[in-house]
Amino acid sequence: MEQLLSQIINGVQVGTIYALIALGYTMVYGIVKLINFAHGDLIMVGSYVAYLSIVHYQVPFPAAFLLAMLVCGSLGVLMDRIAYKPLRARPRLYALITAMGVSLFLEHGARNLPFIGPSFRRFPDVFPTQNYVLTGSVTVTNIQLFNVAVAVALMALLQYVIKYTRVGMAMRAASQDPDAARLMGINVDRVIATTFAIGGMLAGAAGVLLAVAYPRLSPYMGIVPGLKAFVAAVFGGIGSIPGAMVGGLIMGVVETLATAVYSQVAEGVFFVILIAVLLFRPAGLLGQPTVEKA
Amino acid sequence: MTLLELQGLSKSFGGLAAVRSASLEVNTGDLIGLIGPNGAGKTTVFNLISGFYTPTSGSIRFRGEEIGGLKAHQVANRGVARTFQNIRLFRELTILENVRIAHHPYAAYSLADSILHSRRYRDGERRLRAEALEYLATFGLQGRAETLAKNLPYGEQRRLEIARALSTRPSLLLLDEPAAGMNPQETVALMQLIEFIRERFELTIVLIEHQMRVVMGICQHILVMDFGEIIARGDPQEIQRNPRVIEAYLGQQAG
Amino acid sequence: MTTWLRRKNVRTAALLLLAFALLQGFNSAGLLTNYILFVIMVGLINAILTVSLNVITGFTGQFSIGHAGFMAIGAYTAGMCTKLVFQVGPDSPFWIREPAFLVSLLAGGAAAGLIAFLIGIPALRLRGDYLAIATLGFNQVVVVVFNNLDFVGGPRGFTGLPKLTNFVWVAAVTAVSVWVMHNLIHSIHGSQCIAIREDELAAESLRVDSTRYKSLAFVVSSFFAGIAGGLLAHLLQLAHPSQFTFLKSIDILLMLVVGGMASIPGSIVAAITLTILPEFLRFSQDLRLVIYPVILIVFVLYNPVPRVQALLQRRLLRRAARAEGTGG
Repeated sequence: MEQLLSQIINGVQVGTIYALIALGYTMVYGIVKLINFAHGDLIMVGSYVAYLSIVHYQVPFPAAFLLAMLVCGSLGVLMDRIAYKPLRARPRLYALITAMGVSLFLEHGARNLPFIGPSFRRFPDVFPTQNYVLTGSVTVTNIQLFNVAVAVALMALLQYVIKYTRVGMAMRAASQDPDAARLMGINVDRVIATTFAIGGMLAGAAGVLLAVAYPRLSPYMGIVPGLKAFVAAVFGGIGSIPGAMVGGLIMGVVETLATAVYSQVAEGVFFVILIAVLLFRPAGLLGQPTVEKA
Repeated sequence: MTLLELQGLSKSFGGLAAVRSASLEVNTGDLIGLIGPNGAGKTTVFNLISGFYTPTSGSIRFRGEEIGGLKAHQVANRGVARTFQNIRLFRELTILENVRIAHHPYAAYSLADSILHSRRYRDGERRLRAEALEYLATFGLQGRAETLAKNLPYGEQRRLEIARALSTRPSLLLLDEPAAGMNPQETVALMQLIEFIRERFELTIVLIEHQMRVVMGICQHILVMDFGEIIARGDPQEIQRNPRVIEAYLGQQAG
Repeated sequence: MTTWLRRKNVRTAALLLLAFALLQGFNSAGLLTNYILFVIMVGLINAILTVSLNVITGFTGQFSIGHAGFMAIGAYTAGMCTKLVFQVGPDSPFWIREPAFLVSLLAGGAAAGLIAFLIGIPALRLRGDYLAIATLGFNQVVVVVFNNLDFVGGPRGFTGLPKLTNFVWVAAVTAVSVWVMHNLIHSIHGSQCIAIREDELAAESLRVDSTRYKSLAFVVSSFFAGIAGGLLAHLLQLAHPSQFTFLKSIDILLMLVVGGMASIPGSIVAAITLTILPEFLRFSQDLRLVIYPVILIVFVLYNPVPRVQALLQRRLLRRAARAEGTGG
């Protein structure tokens, strides 16, 4: 029982990070119907930005965190400009391919930069680890608390932006019907850029949080969490923002539990869930089913 | 003889009834018009008959056999063909290819034949091509066999879609707003075409139409739908005098 | 005159034989290093993969990002046959070794086709992106399964497979595979697949059983992916789970897109070029990995190949149509 509780606490920490990443996938998909395969690599970029600024330039952690978000946000917009925007009118498969190209470019490019290099880097300890005993052997660390708190705060902020600001309203309108939104005078291109920026910022934040929790950095560190967050986004219903949050959380918990039971198949469990969801509830947990018209 | 019979046919989408307890009978050789304001449920009736939707309740009988809930290709295999309101040609394929594909049940060669290019494959291909060209000739499209469907003028796209539907050799043809978007000359030509194919292919036809002159001009029997229900039926004169029909159309114009 | 002996076919066959004889001659004369021959063989295997992906994605219009999963099934199944069932090696007598290899390759293809049939029944109901995601998930499940199958090496990979793949095998299997897929696509059965790609609902209204034809295309596509997997495993003498992740599927997809959707010659040329090209970029192994995706992006953004190809193909089609009309 206590074992289970510890695992769930661990799962919630991972889950909130997945949720942050999944939000980027889902928001972009909601508007441009693109699976941005390079999104996971923004996690890597974010964690290296924070790492470099802390280690080489002695930037304080909060500033490094914001810097990582900023860089990833800009990179998200740049990605869209260069690789996706020119392909909007073409079949969707093409943008999917360039997305994969961007992903490979970021990974291998990072690997070739001397200050990132092919070897692992260790993320510095931002604050000394402290354990708080809950009951018996169940403990929670200050890092876990910090991660969950930051992730939840960011998601709350995102909800606020989407629900109550003009930008958010424009985003919702554009994801419902881009053509109608354009007719209503919404600058859809700018909305798309904003979406990539927000998605990138969240991925950057997720990268730093991930580095704080698991301090081993590598150019390929974004692939696996990216893929898992993507599954979470599908699970929650791709295109649905609350779906991405719930999906991320559930997938995080399921993953830690599966790993605890039988670590070899944990990754398989992820994809089995993915396939099952697609087959039995393709719109996901919270997505809207679409009706095809003859 | 009754060819098609709908009884108490209903379809709802998430609680919203698109068709409510529709019943009708179509006899062999009939040419029936289905009219009604936008959103009355006409296309839904077509989608139900042709197997794109599964009825929520009620029955659809074709030649006495229940076809409600069958898949679209199974319904088509039994002799029901249709066209679409927003023309659904294979736009990137040639005109010949559009019609050739519809002849596929008459190719009569197997996968192995196609891999080995056997005699049966060659005979089958030659026959498919000849028959497809024959259909194109019947519809005056033979000169443009190699044109891509998307490059045809609008009126001819409609004609090609009808040619393609007839290539499946149906006994019942459902036409969904065949005159939509046509100019008056094209409309007259279309009316003549419908009369012609009806005789030539011994067809039974049900057509949805907005242009009153088409419906009143060629249909012997008309059904009127409004809010998912069939509100009137009869010959063109009766329909024109029916107060409920007038109300449905005027009501729509007012609102 | 039968269609087999049409002038065009004879000419194509002659050209292919010439190319084969030249390469094989160079090879026997020791003019080709093993390395060059190896690259050419990998290029041809990639051509099988790309053409087979074209069957389901280019011609039938169903996006699959799981092709490497079927490759893996073929590779492991064929490997189990040669290593564990037939226990043949390069030293076995010719008349046992070669038929055993053929049977093993076919078994690999059949296993991949069977799995495709089984997962296709539910998965092919999904459309567009959803099918792409499901096939990607399937691919990763296959990788996890092989990672955990101890009797084929688990995470260490299935090692010690006999080296049975040689240039003759690769050339022959590529030729036969492409020929079979080409003929299927250019029959009324292939036309029905194309109709589904163009407009599935319209195709259904024309008596096309879309479930059946999507499933058929998926099975054929996966069968040849399995064959290619078997060939590759017996070239490398290894099948390793990490070779068959969705990244490999993306590689194949890339070749397909560069060569142009629904173009068989395009697939072949792109597969071979994209296999050989990176070898020329060998001046820096690391930098190569950066340049490659850049070329890819540029190619997708400003790809001239499909346009040229579409033009050529239309001309060829017209010529074929004329030939069909006059005689044969």
